[in-house]
Amino acid sequence: MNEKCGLGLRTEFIHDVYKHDFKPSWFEVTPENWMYMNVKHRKTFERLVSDFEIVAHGLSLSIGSNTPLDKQYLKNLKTFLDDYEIKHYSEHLSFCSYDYKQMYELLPIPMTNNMVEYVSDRVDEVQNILGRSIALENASYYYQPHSEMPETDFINAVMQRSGAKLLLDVNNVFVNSHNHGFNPNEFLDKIEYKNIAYMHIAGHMEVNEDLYVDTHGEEVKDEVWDLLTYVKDAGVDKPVLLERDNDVPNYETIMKEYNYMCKIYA
Amino acid sequence: MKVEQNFQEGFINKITSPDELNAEDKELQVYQDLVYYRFLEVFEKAYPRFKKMISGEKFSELIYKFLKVGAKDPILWRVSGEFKIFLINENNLEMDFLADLLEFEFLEVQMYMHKYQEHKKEAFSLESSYLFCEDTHIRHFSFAVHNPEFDENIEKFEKGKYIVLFYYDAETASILYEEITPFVAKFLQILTTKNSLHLLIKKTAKLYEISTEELMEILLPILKNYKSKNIILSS
Repeated sequence: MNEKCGLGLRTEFIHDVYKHDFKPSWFEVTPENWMYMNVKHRKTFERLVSDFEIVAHGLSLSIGSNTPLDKQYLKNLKTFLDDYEIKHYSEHLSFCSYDYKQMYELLPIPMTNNMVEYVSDRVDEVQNILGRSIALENASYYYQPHSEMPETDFINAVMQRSGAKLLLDVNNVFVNSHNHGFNPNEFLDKIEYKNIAYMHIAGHMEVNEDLYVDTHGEEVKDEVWDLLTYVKDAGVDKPVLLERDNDVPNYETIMKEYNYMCKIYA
Repeated sequence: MKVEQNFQEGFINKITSPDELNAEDKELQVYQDLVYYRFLEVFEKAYPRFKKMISGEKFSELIYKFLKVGAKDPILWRVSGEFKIFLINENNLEMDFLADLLEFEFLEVQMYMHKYQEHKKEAFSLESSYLFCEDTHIRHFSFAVHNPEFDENIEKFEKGKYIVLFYYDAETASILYEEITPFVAKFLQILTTKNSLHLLIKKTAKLYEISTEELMEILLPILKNYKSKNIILSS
């Protein structure tokens, strides 16, 4: 990725992109939503893919699952990435299936030495099948599973052992820090910035005093912008992407937020 | 990995259960809700008509039962196909038309997610051979689930034999459907690269002991229409 700021592509505004002069530098797409796409969006999607740099950000890999990697899914994913010449692919440091049962949600994995090894071996397998290096996102979690180490150590260890890059989700750091009572700045200080491939920023829902949920359904909160600035001030010079998955506003509104992100970060 | 897997297994069992969580597991409530509502959203979108026909409580009960069986497909929208099979195998729904209704609703979803080939505009000719387009589907139903009034007046519709043709309309990017006669369905199935339409119509007329002209009068407007909609394609 050469450009600093990107936007998550959503069907809610896909047809509006070419109606406006303002456009993001690059888009991120969820391959599971586009490997089989609705006929109403195909032409526009294919035009966008040929006009913009695209990063694929998957949901179904389930890197921390006990279920063997789904080779057919990976083969289909590779075909999708190859067909649209998408070089960059990222996923989540989590699991979403167990004993072959899909949950379609990002679930927290135990942060143990065994899991570092297990995930790293699977990253290697995935990279070999896809013919690409991958990046893994630090996930939001609402329950701390059985763990032997702090999350920062776990993330750094997985990146070091697997060679995967980190997709640093700044909003997830903030949400987790609130829900689990740690200092987000100190958390970021412990992350090995050299591993970062790119970053995510998004909105979350303040359900109550004790619980924030990473909904991607609201505007980015000031505290999260502040964290992004903190990362920038620490010398991180990597692209950042704005995500919005729920209650997606119109394109003009989302581009205002995108432009704000570029203003403070680029 | 024994400890890790024990944790994961216990975690999954708790978050896929409809039971209220114990006080010490309250932190898992978010996951219990996230997983349930994820499935609810997908199934509501895939089966809006079925959803309206049963109570919210029953729908919720079915989702939790399905969660115990487990979804296999990594692609979220396709899990509705697994849910369809699960529902048909549930014997306590007391809906004779259930299989037809779910098939109708899910076929529409599948067809919207299909990648369609573009077809050149060509003039219709009786001397050409045609094939039934593989992107088009024929379904045989025992209940008139394709009738727009079916849901409101189920008891008025008698069990019968209904043949419905589903096709993709490229101009509007929509999935359309129409009821067809058994004769038209059969004729569409015998289309072959080996015979021109003219010859097929002649052979069929002979088989049914009617005149070629008479059959031509019936079939010609239908076939011309189907050609214009790419339901049949020149081979």
